Amino acid sequence: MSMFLMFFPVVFVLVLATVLVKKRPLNGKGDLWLFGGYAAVLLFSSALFFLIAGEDNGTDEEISAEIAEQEAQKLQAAAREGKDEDINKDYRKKQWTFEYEESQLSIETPDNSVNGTDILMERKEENDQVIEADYYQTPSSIEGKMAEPARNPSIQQTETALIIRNPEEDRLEYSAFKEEFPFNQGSEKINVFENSSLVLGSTLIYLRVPKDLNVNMDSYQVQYVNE
Amino acid sequence: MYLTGNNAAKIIWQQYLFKMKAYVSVFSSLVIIQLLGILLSFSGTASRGTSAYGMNINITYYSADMVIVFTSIWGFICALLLTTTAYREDGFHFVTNRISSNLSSVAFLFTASIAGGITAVFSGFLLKVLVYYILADEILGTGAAADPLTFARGMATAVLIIFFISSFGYLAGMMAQWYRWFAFILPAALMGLLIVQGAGEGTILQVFYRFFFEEASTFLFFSKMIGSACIIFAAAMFLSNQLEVKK
Repeated sequence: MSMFLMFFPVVFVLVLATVLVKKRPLNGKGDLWLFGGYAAVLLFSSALFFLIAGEDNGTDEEISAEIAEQEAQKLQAAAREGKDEDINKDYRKKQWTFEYEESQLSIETPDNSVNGTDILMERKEENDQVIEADYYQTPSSIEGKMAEPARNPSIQQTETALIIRNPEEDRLEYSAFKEEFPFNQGSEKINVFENSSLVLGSTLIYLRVPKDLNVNMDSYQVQYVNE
Repeated sequence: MYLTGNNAAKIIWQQYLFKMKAYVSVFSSLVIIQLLGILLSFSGTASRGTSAYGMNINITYYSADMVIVFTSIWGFICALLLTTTAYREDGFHFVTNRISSNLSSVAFLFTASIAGGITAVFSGFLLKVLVYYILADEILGTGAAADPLTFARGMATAVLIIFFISSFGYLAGMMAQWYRWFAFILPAALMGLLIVQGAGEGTILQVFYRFFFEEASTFLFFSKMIGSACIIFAAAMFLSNQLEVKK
């Protein structure tokens, strides 16, 4: 069945072209008019296209793929070296502060194993019985357009644990114009997405816990910085 | 000795002009095939999706890729039909031989490929304008060539691809004229090759694709396209000379 579906458009066009390209008497005025009219429509649409392409809608924030990638790397590098003060504060999307007087804490991440975020933890220099958490997120670049999910993760405090839950997924639908494949000839490889760009931003949750707090956690999900 | 002299170039030119008039219906069929391609491209020619933390992204891409593929198929069919008896016998209206008849057909196919390639590339603008006004409210990217040189190169590439594919149609048609069973053997062999070999690594189709379409140098790509088309047309002409008179 799938083989049939794969060949169907090709066979359909083959049959259609064979039927259409039939020999007719030497009277092709109608054919010429049709072709000429079509050519005129194509020329008009190309002029219209460049008018549309030249329009500046001025509403969308833009970010290049390179910048998005650099910003994501900068965020990760600064956080992993424990230099959270170096992180661009525009990327801090949410902050939490929890009073915590127990000596032991469990960090639970029930849904972070698939499409999860990095969770980093730093020990403070004092035992102030306060746990701080920051959620950072750098923008994604989708064909040059800046995109960010609207929702943030949630952190819930129980008597002996912090439960970190993923945000509900935002479904982002885009339409994009792409160059036709002959324009990519000469690139190393013709690929459908040769000139398209999709760079995802980086996300992380940065926790600061009291110096002597005993923390139980899954080391694959939560990592210490500076240790 | 004759009072009127003719040279080969003049005969080919006259036959070419005759074919341009007689086979003008191929251009109206081109319009219909391309409009069909544009219509089918409305649902997008490619899509890409990914999931990340808190996001599920899906991008639908619009381009005239399908129109160019359809135009190549059209080129193949045009070339194939030119080799059928009904079309070949048109040449007998003129003082002709097989070579001049074939050369004028090749010239006609090249003209048709130019018309097909240019309109196929320009149909991308029509598709994008229609998508902009009818389907989507926000479009990312323009999908336009970076500069006029890239645009001209892309258009030349489209023309040569269609001409190259049409050379296969011409050869296939001539093979079928030479030996009738080829009309059944060739499509069966092609389908069989696609089914048996699939799209795996190292298949004949993949080697063919890599040799032609992954060529990084534009000059080499153009040379391969033109050179291969010339060889294929020459093979078709050789077969044509093996045909009986008016067969």
